[in-house]
Amino acid sequence: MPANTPIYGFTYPCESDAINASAFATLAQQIDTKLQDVQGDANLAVGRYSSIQSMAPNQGGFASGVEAAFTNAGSTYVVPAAGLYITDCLVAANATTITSMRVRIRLNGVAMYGRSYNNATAAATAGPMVVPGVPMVCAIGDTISAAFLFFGTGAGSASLRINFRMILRLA
Amino acid sequence: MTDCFDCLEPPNYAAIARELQQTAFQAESCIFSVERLLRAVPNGPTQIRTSTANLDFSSGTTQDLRVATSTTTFSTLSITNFFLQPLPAGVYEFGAFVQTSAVGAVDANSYRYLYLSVRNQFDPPAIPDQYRATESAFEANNGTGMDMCAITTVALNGSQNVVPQFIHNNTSSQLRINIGAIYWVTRLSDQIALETV
Repeated sequence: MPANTPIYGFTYPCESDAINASAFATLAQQIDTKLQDVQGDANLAVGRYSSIQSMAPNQGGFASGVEAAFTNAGSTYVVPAAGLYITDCLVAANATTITSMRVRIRLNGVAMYGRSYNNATAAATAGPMVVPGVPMVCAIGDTISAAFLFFGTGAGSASLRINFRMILRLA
Repeated sequence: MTDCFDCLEPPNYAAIARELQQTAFQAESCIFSVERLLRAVPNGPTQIRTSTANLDFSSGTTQDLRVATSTTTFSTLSITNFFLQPLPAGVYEFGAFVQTSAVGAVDANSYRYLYLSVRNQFDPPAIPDQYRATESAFEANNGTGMDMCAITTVALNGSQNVVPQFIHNNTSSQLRINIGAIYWVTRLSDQIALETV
């Protein structure tokens, strides 16, 4: 009976097996397939998953004191491969007046971290403010998004530039 | 002969099965080495710690945030706890997220400073930090506290600790670093880059 190597399962004939061309073909194909996986690792080592996105259009309709998610195009990221990801973003906001604002990064809708901004002059604009980012353990298919909260008067609108980068691969 | 595979010698032509076995194992050994390197090189050792208790402290004194109990959320570091042990020499990203709130009365516009510091392992408290990055915020007094988040890059010599610290001037009451604060490090490279010729 043919046997298999312990890690990748490459198949080789044993002493009692009849040798024919298929033994060579099988082993060659298995090695070729594994080399393609290694090429994928090399590609990932050189080009880590990352994305730079600008939400378009700017999002309006934010009410003072009510945290709401950014939902316009470009505001979210679906994780393509399991790993640690850092998300940072840049937000600028407008309203009749803004006394403070906060942006939080969410993973699958759950707030993970964020940053607050005290607009002491209560001007009509606030920011731009950077949220630097914290590594999050993400599974393939997880959704990373951001949420906005401001205090002031009038309806708020905000721009969002959000960046995602894998710092460690888990699978 | 290649680096991975031995060539067949004339006496071995009849031992095809054995040679195929040898080829299979040599292929596995070579590919495994390369695969491990490719996965290890971009995956810098990383540790994420999350606080498991609130930490309350008074104004005017720099507070070491490591005193709050914390748990390891994720780790591929060679050390168990970067709060307690110096990190191996290298260049690291060091970051933190804290959510602060006043325990009692809020002083509007009072400052909150989050420090990301480097200290020699055995330096007494009176010795200044070797390095300090500062994230500052001023209390907005909107009832939601202040979220603070910072990252810095540090070069460590193997006998230094990274230390998150905090100071505030909310004199009317203590300030709380709320449970769930996040502190993290990820290794970027060796301290000294190899010279490229």
